[in-house]
Amino acid sequence: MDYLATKYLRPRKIPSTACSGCGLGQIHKKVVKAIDELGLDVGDVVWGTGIGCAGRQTFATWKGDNFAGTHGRVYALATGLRIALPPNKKIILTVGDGDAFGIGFNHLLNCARRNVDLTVIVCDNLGYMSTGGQYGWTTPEGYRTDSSPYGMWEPNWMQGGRDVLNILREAGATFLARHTSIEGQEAVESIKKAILNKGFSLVHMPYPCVTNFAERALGSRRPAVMYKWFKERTVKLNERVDEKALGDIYFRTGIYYDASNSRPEFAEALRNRVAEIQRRFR
Amino acid sequence: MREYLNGNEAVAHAVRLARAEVVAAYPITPQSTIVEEIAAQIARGEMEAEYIRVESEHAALAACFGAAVSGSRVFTATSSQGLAYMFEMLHYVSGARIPMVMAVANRGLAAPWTIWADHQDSVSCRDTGWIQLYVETAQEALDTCLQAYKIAEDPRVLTPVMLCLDGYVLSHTEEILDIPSQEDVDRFLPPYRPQVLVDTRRPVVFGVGAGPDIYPSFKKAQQEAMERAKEVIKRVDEEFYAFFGRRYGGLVEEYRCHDAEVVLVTLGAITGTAREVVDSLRREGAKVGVLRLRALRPFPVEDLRESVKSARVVAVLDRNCSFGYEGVVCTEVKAALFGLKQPPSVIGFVAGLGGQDIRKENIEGIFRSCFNSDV
Repeated sequence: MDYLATKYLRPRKIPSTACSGCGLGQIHKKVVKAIDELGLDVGDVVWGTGIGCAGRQTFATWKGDNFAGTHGRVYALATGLRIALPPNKKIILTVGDGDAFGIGFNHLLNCARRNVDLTVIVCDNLGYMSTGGQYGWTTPEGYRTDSSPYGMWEPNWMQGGRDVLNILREAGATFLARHTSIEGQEAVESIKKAILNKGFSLVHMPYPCVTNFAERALGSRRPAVMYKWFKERTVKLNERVDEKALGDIYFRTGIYYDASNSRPEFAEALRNRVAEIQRRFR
Repeated sequence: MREYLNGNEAVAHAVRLARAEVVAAYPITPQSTIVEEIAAQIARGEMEAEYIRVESEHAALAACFGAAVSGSRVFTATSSQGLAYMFEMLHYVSGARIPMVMAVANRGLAAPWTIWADHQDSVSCRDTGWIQLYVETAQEALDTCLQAYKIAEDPRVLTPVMLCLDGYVLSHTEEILDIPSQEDVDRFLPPYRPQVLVDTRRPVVFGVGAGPDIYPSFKKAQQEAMERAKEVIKRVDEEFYAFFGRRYGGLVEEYRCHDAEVVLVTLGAITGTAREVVDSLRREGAKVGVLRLRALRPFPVEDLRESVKSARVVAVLDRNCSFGYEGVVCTEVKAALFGLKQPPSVIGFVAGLGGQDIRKENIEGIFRSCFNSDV
């Protein structure tokens, strides 16, 4: 077994229950690699998960403490945990696109506003793939899914001049990045920065779903087709491309916004505030 | 027309035949294929309705509420966590007396996570003011869905109906179904004509605040409507029979109960297995029967008492648990039989949680232990 897996993950949970060809393992490995490169130990991280593919495949894989939240509520749970945990412990959440940008978006935005010290890794398979492949909040316009057999027609959070990361930035997030799962060390470096930010960090990581997304949207379950699709649409932030020629969704990757450690962190601010008020009564 | 379909598809066909006009839903296993099939029917032009994909189950029921107050016939479906997330809106809909139908593909609740069948989700919503009907087969799911609109929209009832079908066992299992014709359904279920609706020419207020002086009268009216629903559910089942030749006993369905010494009370799909066991024990000469509660709310007190008249022991099979006491149906049955001159003893069995199989041997064991009990 992989050195990282042996060191940080529960052997019983590896390999995961992901479908063959799933890109989630690429994200999972990058997160663990980032933890390793930062020299963090099993006891330094508490790992939380949401629902869906990302929740199921990464749940309880971490050798240390794990928790699973209800759908979309893991950010609220993590906020409570953040207040209770020693400030030097890291909380890392691996969640899905439906969990973060759909049902749990309200909680996510409020975590960004409060600047709660969390690292949220949004593992985005472009829709609700674990329930059979319904369209979601990042499903590319025009693409077929189980619930959009004639093409995704609703506006998503990714196209038409919208970017979910802009919303999170406006809400107060202090570190934001996007990488597709097929990228390499640059994604690991971003995750490391996300973990080191003492505040709300989010890394949006689109990844290939061969079983449900590719079958409906691309008409093939061949992993090569899905991975090629992703590769063609993975474009560095500073890379100059003819956007018109792309004429489709593409993923601008890199660090979108880095204001690490620039705003007070929620739990710390809360503790300081309470201490200050209590001093007034002494 | 006869087709080979599963319970979820059966419900989708019923929603089409009922001419539901607005459907709002959020994906959750094992419900998702109900609304997917509805969306497909709309896309194929077989159904005239608006389908909205919303951002949560709470929003799904809220959207249905909004559509219903403007006079539309609405539908949604969910399971487990989704139903739990709807809890606030459940009371809101029933309190506002919005007649709508929601299918619940029954599934256990987290933690720990499960996607498999049990009744904890809907049973936990027992007191939300919704009529709850539990079905045994995919055919009954289809038929009851049609009945449910008629029950809910009856001016004497005006109460939403939860159509509960066991996850997977019914939702994902195929059987040969008789699909009624649109003409027959149209005659059985005329268009929904609300008494009060949002109409810009005649302003009304929904979701009002009520002080302590009038709040109780709203709740009393709800309770009275539920009591009236007992008769309506029975009558609609008979009417359905006259149209389609199928009926399900109204509030309860008896099987060989008339002279039974031990009657097993059940909810939902497991009843089929229980019937098999009753037949085999009857061949041995044991006087046993099974009574399926089709309605959990309103609770069929009178029908239950009548059905277990000859019983020495009433066994109750609960696919749910009220932690700190016992299975919920068991408590309900005990309460319903309390005060009879010579009431049978009631013994509760909690089984099949989180999709655990309930096998013939298990049910046989329940019957045998009841015969052996010295009560």
